[in-house]
Amino acid sequence: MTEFFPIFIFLIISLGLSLILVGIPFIVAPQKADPEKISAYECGFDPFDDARGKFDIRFYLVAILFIIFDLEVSFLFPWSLVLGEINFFGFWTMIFFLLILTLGFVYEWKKGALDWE
Amino acid sequence: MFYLFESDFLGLIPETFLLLGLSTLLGYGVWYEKGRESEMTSHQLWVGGLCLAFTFILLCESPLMNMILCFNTLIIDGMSAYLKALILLSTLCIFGLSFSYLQQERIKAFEYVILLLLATLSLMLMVSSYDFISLYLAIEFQSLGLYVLAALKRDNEYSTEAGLKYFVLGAFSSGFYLFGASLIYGLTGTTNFEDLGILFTGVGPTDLFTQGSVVVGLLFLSVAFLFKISAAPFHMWSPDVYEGAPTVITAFFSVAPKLALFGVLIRVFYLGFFDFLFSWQQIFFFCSLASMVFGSFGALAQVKIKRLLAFSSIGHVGYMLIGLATGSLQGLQGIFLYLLIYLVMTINAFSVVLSLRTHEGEPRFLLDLKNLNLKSPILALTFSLTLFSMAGIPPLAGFLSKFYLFFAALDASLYSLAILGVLSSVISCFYYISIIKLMYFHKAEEVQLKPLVGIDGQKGFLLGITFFGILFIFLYPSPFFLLSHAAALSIS
Amino acid sequence: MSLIHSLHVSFVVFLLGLVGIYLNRKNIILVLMSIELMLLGINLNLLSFSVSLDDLLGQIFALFILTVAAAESAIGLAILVIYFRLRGTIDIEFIRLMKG
Repeated sequence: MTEFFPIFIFLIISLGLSLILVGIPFIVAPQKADPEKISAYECGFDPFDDARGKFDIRFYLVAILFIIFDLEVSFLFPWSLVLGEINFFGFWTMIFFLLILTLGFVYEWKKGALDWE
Repeated sequence: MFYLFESDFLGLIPETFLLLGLSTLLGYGVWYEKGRESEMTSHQLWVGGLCLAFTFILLCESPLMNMILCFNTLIIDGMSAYLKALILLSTLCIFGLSFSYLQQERIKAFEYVILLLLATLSLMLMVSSYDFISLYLAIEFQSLGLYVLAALKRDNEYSTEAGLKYFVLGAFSSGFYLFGASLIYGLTGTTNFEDLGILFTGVGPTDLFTQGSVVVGLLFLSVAFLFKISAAPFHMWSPDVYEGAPTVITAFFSVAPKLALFGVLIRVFYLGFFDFLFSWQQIFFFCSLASMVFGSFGALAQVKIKRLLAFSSIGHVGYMLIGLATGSLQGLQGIFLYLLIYLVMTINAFSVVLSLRTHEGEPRFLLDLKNLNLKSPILALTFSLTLFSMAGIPPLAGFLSKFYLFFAALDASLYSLAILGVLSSVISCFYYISIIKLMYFHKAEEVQLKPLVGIDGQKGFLLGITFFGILFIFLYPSPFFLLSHAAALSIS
Repeated sequence: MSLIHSLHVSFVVFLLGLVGIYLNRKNIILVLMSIELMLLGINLNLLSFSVSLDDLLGQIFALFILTVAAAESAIGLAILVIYFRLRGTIDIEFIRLMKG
């Protein structure tokens, strides 16, 4: 347990420092809210519309594809460690697994999931 | 090291062929989709059907009869061969039904075929699995494909809602399964069914350790499986999902996952946990009672066709759970026979529902069936005899299967199950006959009846074959008896 | 510390996920998160059993569960997206097109 003590000190110091840095301006600075001061800035005009844009679905698609291939890589890690012991059979099994995932990759490429981003 | 696994590939030839076939179909579909959207689905259906037929032939001519493969994770025996054959046949029937359905619903996604083939592959692996890990992978494989298939019609609100509900319930029940499996693993140190069976020999109902802790894991496992086969009291999701999903997918749901899941139930509970008979027999006893009662009473209140078929399938699951609860060889044989006849009846029922399409769309309410006798008398006759068979009327196939199961239950002294089975058959008779009355004897109010869109060749063939089966299995049931007996013997 | 304490933790996490699906009155994203919580609890369960039994099988099982859970949540979110596109809301109250 004693080897974790420096980490505990680190935790306390970082927590304390960030609280001080955020808390002191909050306490010391004057806070007089004025309707002109807190409204959204749009080059001097009144805001025309809600500034938030619609969430583009391609971000979600890229995230999902990343997850799938990341899981493929997570299977590659232990395989690479024991490759010396499982010889050719282990190698070709993993190649078969990668081929199936490559088929999925070809499918998504052809369907256009990787365009415009 | 390589030579240790050579015969594994021999045993897995059907699955490997199906995998390679569907990969080829996927590559062909996605590469050549550009100019030929309209024919791509029918091309895929034909070649996919051919792929399934070849897999069926490979299965029947397999060089290995009994073997444990892949480092104790998969097994091939008589039951797995029987159930895999039934699963492949059911998917072939679904393909036959989908030709006209995809055209009429204007579904242009060829991935429909790929997903169905993937689900079939996973069902075959599920039936062969011999270990909790491989079983979980196969269950999730199947579920993921079916979640997408349930939500196939993306612009239809019912379909997306059905997909969402099916997803939530499927993931929830997989969570229960995993919890049970993790408890069993923690208490025994192994996940292999054969090892569990050997480990638990001689456990009696008074042994405190096992009865306290392993039974908890067993409870979670059985609840998870009962969720997935939509047995009462865990059946609430299936009417909604069956109603919302595209009709052909509903037909697949009613037939194929139940086949595979009964195989899984038999393997887990007869091979792995047979010594806990007195515990899980009570669970299946109760759920069988509840399913038969809910299936018959629930269907009385339905006004939509697909929900009615969902409740009737809950009732059928109840009958099959009787066979599971017996713990005897006859119960197993009864389940296998009932699965075969259930397959034939359900394919027939869904073929009829799919044939009732008019120019406005497919029938949703029971009242759309009215006066079928005037529109198409042969279809009305087919449907009425199928409904009689589902109710268990004597010279038809359904009677044979129920008769066998009730005798198996009586032999295992489960008297209340048999009595309640007969009673709920009588109650289900009531609503089946009310549908027949609607078809034949309804007052013809409107002068013009909406004409039916014609039935294409594949659906007509399926209707004919299944109707023939329903009528004449009773006259010559011995090949089916032999098959199911051989399948059951492989478990004992 | 000992096996029982980590089993308590994992069981509590599993129960939180389970109850989260049932007591949810807001939206479907909470259901998806609760499902992931259930799977997390199960993973913890398996890993603590694997440590106490000194067996690698639990960790292998947990690795497979992780992979499948991620793929499953991807598909679940995809179904949710098409549902939202059609209905415009993910409120639980509106998922009653089909009664029951």
